[in-house]
Amino acid sequence: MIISAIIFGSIISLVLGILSFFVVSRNLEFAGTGISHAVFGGLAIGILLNINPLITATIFSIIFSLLIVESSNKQNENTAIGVLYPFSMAIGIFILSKFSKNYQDIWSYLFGNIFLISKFDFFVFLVYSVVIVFFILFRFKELVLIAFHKELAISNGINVKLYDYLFFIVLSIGIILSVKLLGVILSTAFLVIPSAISFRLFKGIIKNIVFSCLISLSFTALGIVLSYLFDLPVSSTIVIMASTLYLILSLFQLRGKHS
Amino acid sequence: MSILEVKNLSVILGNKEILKDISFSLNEGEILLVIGPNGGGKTTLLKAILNIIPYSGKIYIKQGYKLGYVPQNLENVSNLPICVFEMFKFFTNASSKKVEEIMEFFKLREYKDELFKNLSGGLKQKVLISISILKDSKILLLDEPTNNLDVSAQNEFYRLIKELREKYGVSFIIVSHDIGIVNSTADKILCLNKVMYYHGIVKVDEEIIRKLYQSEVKIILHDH
Repeated sequence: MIISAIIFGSIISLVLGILSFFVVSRNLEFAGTGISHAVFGGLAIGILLNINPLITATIFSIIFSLLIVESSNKQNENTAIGVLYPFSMAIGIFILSKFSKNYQDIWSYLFGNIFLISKFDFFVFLVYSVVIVFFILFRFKELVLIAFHKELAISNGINVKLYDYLFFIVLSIGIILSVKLLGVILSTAFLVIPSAISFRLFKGIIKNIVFSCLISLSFTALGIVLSYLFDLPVSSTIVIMASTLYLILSLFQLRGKHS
Repeated sequence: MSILEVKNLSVILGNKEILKDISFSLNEGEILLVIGPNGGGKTTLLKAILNIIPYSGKIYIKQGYKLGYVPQNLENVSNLPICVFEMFKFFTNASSKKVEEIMEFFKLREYKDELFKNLSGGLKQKVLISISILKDSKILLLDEPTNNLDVSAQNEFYRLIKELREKYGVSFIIVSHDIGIVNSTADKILCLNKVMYYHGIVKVDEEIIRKLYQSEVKIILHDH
């Protein structure tokens, strides 16, 4: 069980490491949180309708992320996300507390459970990971230019809106991957922390992507092993370790600046 | 010979008419200076030419003449941790010989491993202009390039612009408030405040400037 959890966690954390590079570069942390909460509403609807929740969550989060892109040219983007995400979260809580007899369900979606993976989950997650990695690999230059400066990208003939749609779809399915590992509540941690740490240490995009992946991979593997050995909750163990490193680094660099 | 021609260009954003019936042309090797008050549509004009915003009217660009763009306010341009040499690598297909040559021209070599976001405003500009040159852009659109430069850096900047024109055959449209450099650098000017007040060879008199900025101004022209 632990072996499959580590393999599965490693794949997810590598994918999240790459995504986190773009999320932090483009300051999309808040949008990521929004999508993760939309995922929860989608999961709950799946449980209610007796469809595999992964599928409904995918549909839900894609719709939500397309709405974000659609409203991104208007000034009230953050307000729209700020209203929509508690809405979706509330739908999830409402459905699950009213109709689900199994509290284990709610618990495992909110806080993740990497030790409980079905064959179907594994298959879906493998497909998602491949889609994400291929999209980013094959459209790397365009995505980097958009992250650098949108108008410069448009003036270079890149269809920025189309790329944003695709990127947000990819981000949504990335968040669904992270829900299994970390749960809805903590899922955005790995969209932010790996690159937040790496950006403080390294210069250059290639170095930062590589180290974001290594950071998220190390914390995931370590977290899974520790929680298996000492019977700790996986997601919070991983996130506490990663955030602690980030905080220590920040304090250290702050002191360095003042002395 | 004209390489860019704008005919009856109008831009409406939201319900606001930003530009109305603008027509002008740019010849090969020319430096066109666009002046006018803030909010007069100078940046909008560049964005319309670059096809970033919707417009009505015609913009004709001679075949094979690629546009390059250096936007305004490069201060908080991006959080992307990209180094200068990576920008040359990922944003252009230029050979390393050409990259070396342009880094030599702008004296960028010592910054090639630095993060773009940590560079000064003047250096950021030089990097972005280099990228346009490496992409073989023949018409460069620069939006208030000298805003954050001190006087000596401004002089240096316009000297480099003229050198680039000689060396790489580039033409320029420069949005600027530097009315003082009109005589020494620009071949043509375009006076813009929603509508066009003047377009043509350099001949800014106080009458035009007074109308354009709607205030009393005294022009002190100086050569560099």
